[in-house]
Amino acid sequence: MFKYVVKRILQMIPMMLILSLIVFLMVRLIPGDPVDLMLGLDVPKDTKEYEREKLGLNDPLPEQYLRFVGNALKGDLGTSIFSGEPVVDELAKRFPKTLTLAVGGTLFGALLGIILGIIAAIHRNKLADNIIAVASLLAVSTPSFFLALILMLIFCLQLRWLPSIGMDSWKGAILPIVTLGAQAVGSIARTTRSSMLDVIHQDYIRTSRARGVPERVVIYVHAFKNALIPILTAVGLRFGGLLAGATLVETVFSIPGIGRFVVDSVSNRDYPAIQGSVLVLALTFVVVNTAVDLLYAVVDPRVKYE
Amino acid sequence: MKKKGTFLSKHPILRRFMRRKVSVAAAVILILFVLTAIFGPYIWKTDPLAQSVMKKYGPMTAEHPLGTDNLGRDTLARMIQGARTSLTISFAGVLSGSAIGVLLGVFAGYFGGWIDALISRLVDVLLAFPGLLLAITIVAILGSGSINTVIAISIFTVPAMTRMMRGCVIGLKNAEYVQACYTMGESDMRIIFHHIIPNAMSQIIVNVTLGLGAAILTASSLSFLGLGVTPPEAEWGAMLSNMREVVRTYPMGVLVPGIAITLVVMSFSLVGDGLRDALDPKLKNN
Repeated sequence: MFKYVVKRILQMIPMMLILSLIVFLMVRLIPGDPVDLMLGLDVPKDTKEYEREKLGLNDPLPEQYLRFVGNALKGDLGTSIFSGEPVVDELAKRFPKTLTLAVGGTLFGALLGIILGIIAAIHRNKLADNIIAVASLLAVSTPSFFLALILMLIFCLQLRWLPSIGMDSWKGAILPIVTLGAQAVGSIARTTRSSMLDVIHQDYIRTSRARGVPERVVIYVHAFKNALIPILTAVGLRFGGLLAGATLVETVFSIPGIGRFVVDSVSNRDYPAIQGSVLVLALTFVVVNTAVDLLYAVVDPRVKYE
Repeated sequence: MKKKGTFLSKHPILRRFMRRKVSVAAAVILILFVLTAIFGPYIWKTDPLAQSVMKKYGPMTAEHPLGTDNLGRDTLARMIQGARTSLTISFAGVLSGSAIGVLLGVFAGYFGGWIDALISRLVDVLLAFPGLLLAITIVAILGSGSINTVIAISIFTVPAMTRMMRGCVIGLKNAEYVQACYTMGESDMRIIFHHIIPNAMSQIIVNVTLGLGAAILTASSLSFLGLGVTPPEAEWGAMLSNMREVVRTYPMGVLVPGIAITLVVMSFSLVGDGLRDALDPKLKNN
């Protein structure tokens, strides 16, 4: 087990290096001189040259890249052009909010999705199954920003049960998390249903039933445990989508998270900020994917011997 | 009735597709949207850009069947314009992205070795940018606008298509008829374009259809964030974003584009599922 964990964690390193290279090159691909963008066009040439030298933009690209990675490892992602604050500080302020949203949304989506998926599998092709299928399809097809506005209209503006902006209290977190999680419910329910159906027809389930094991135990213990791998994959995959999808929810509910920060930075052409936030979001995704891979080994011991 | 039966019995794929009523309904909805996008402006001639301060947030009337927006522009005319924009962007993005993805996937699966390693790592890297973030990142590099949204959606489509196609080709490569082509000395390109791609066509069609739904969502999300289509051009996501400040007093402004996006995305998904069942009956049992 230990060997497997170490192997998977080491595999993350090249991925992270490639990601950092892409994010580094991304800013170099953007047309226009970063110094012009920082200082404006009407600055004397000498000042620009000084600034360029100071930022190390005259050095060869490989050297610049190594410095970028070195600084990033030390926790230095440059300074935001827009606010003048270090990008790391800006991200540190916002990251907990986005992470709360994405983790909360994933948990909500997983919980509801798994429950609905199991119900659908048990009542295959009956009314409950059909209702769940329609609801899942609707949840996957509704754009989250539209769903957010509808929920906001009902629960915040008409019923006045919940606050419509910010995420400062647990009450404020409910709607953003539900909106974001709703996207995941559909796909997780679908995966759970088909995975459960695969398992339910296996011999060992028939044997359990024949031995007189109560149906509840058969479904929730024997079948579910064996149906878990595809479900975990679906949950893991959705997490990344929700991490990025948080951008939309943050916009509607005016939550100052990283997603909103990326969009504002794109509008302000604040390249160090874009670079830093894209890097942090992508790395979070890689880390979560690795964590899901490690979970496989816990759920299914066969995985680590492959 | 009898005549219809003979037509359908000659087209087994169509017959299987027609059996799933929801998919047929979804296909009809999509056809209606496409027809509206193509012919709408010739039937409903109101200018989607004509503003009128006096008519802001207008109710549904004969003159403005879907009301007016925050600048007094006719919502129906803008919805029609928006259908054009959204559908064109999605089709262009998904078709170009799928073409690239199919080729990359075929080369990776067929040739294997370092080509496969290179393409697969590229796909891994693209997939490491979760969902919408990839599209936002591309727009950050290229800037906003319709063409750049198409490019973003195209790149967004490539990785999943490549991965699907690679898996598909690895399966097909060992099929007996492909092995027979090797033995007969057919060239690699001929085997790829005459045997492998046609046999993977049903999977490609299904994935393109499902991809179109995702593309509509992505394009409207980008516009909603102000990173997609630039105003005053009408786009559903942008229209919804314009009206969100007044969601309480004028919910219509949000409901009309929102329902349109949901309906189209859902229809693409249902048609995709229907096509999967119709094109590949074996898959249905799984």
